[in-house]
Amino acid sequence: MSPLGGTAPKADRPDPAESSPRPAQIRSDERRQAAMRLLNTSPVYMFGVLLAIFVTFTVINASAFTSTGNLQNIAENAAPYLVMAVAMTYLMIAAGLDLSIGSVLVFANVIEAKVMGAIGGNGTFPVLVGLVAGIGVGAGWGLFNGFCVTKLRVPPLITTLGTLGAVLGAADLITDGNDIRTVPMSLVNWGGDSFLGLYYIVWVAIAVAVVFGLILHLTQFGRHTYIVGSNIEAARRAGINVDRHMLKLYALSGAMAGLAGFLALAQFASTTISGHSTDVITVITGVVLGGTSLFGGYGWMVGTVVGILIPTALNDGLVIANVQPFWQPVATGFILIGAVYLDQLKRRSRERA
Amino acid sequence: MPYLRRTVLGMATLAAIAAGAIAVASASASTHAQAASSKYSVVYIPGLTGNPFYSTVACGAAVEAKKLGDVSFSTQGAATFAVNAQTPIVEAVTARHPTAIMISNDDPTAMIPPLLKAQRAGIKIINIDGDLTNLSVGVTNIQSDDLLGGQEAGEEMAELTKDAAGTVLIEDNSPGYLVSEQRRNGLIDYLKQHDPKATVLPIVYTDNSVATAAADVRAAAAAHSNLIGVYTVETNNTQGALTGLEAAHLTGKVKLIGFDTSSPIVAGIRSGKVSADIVQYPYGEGMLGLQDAVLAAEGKKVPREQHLPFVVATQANINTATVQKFIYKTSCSVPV
Repeated sequence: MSPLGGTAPKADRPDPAESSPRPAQIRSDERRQAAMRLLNTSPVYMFGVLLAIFVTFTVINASAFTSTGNLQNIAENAAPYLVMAVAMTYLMIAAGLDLSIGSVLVFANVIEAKVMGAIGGNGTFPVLVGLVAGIGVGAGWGLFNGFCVTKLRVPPLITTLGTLGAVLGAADLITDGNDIRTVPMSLVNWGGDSFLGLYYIVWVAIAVAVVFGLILHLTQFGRHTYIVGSNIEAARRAGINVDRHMLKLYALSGAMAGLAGFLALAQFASTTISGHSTDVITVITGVVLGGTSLFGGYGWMVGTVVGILIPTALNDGLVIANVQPFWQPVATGFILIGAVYLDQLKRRSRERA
Repeated sequence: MPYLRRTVLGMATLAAIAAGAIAVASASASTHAQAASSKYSVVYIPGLTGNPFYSTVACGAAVEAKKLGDVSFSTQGAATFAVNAQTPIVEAVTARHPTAIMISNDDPTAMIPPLLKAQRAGIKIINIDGDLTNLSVGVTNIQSDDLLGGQEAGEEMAELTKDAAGTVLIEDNSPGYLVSEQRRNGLIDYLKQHDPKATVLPIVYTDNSVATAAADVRAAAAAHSNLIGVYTVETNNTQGALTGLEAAHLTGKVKLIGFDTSSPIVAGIRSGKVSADIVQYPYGEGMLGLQDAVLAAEGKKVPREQHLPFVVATQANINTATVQKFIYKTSCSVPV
């Protein structure tokens, strides 16, 4: 068998003379096929791209790009996106969509700062209450999105487009548009502290990705998410309460935006009202780069992690390479189109096979 | 095996796209930045990219760097005006360890931690057009006095609408920024004290959109038949208001006073459609910023706070050399 696949390789078709292959051969065939399937997934493709990005920038300026501080920064900047992307992965696998996450992040960001300021002091208590409040209001907006989608039957694109504007406006109403800086010192210090070389913010994002990755791939809740996204009618007939499931996923999306708002607050020691209008684009780009289907039914959590790192690493590397800033969206854009094109190719070849 | 071939081909293609995109971009970097072998390297980080004011700061600094020699200068920035967009840029530039960072801060407080890290790494920080709340970060701040600029705008407005009682509309990008707040307050306070016949309407926010600025001016004109003046505190608002007044056939009847310039605004001043425009001196801020970066690197003392003047550009004076020196540049004689 030639490595690039010659014409009609023998191994693919069982020799009629040898109708019952030996067990050892079956195992090795299975192993090879499993390896092939793994190699042919988007996360692996995208890991290759991420590697190419790292190698390129290391060649250009190794001392700056691979310095510990810089790698820490890349991880820190990716963390809030990753937290939101984890929930977006669930939603997109279930054929849902949430465009409002950036605005919900800002709203939760504001509520957290307000609550922490209202309690006052620089201890841990106001921080924890603020965190709970932020995740709570985030989940609240998520439930509202979910209610509109499942009960009022407003398409997710329209519902969350509506809340995208409305929630940000509501945040502006609360603050009069001014960023709030009533952030307890304990939170600011926590945001700047690290453990084993990574900021706490990054550890939170990793924990979220691992826990929700395991839930997605190993539990009934995760399986239901895939079934709802690949065939909603089949899901209903199998007795899955589809509306209830979607409602939970939208609430999860809102809650994760609330958590991301908390991480952003810790990172910047101030609300960042005007800074999240394009977050949703970064998050969807990351999730799609990671191989999650736009039409539901297919996706990987590990892909999302890799996918989110690509635009962040690219952004950082292009600055270090001293490339004109306008190139960053150009590069990310073409990589996205290339990735989805390859995904389509792969699907077609699988359907033919 | 078609699977394997497609996989290998696919990965190769994607890797090629990624590497290609970076390579093309990096190739442009060689023309973008000057030789890295210079004694000093200075990076300017604007509030956002693609803004005439910040581009002119960059031009002034680039020209000065070339004049001084032995200084390499480049610009790095984010497309949105926000702390969480600017912070990663500061961090990545810090990793490159230039001699100095000139920065137009997106927030006076939230930008302190990343800049403090840069300063601790031995990089000189030059604040351009907006100081930090912690004065120990940065060796200087170079900017116009925005409150004064707002007052000058108020003076012009009172002068232009002398005998009329009516309403004045203020357009701004978004709430929450000290610089534009001072520009607004300068005018509001002046009118309150010197021209009580003018009523200032609630401030309209346009999200930096020319189209919104135009639509909102038309809406205000429709709602208030006694609209006598429009004051716009950022470039895109001025451009939008200009279009909006023209569409509503109110050019000249409603006085338009802008802040900052761009090509359409300069054309508007020439034709009298913009009655007056407060012009800062970003080119001078860039020049001075670069000089101070080198002085600081050589261990010399630099004043902590430096204010540069404004001019008020009108149809009558737009072609004079004094005003022309202040007009923002859309192209630069050296690469920035």
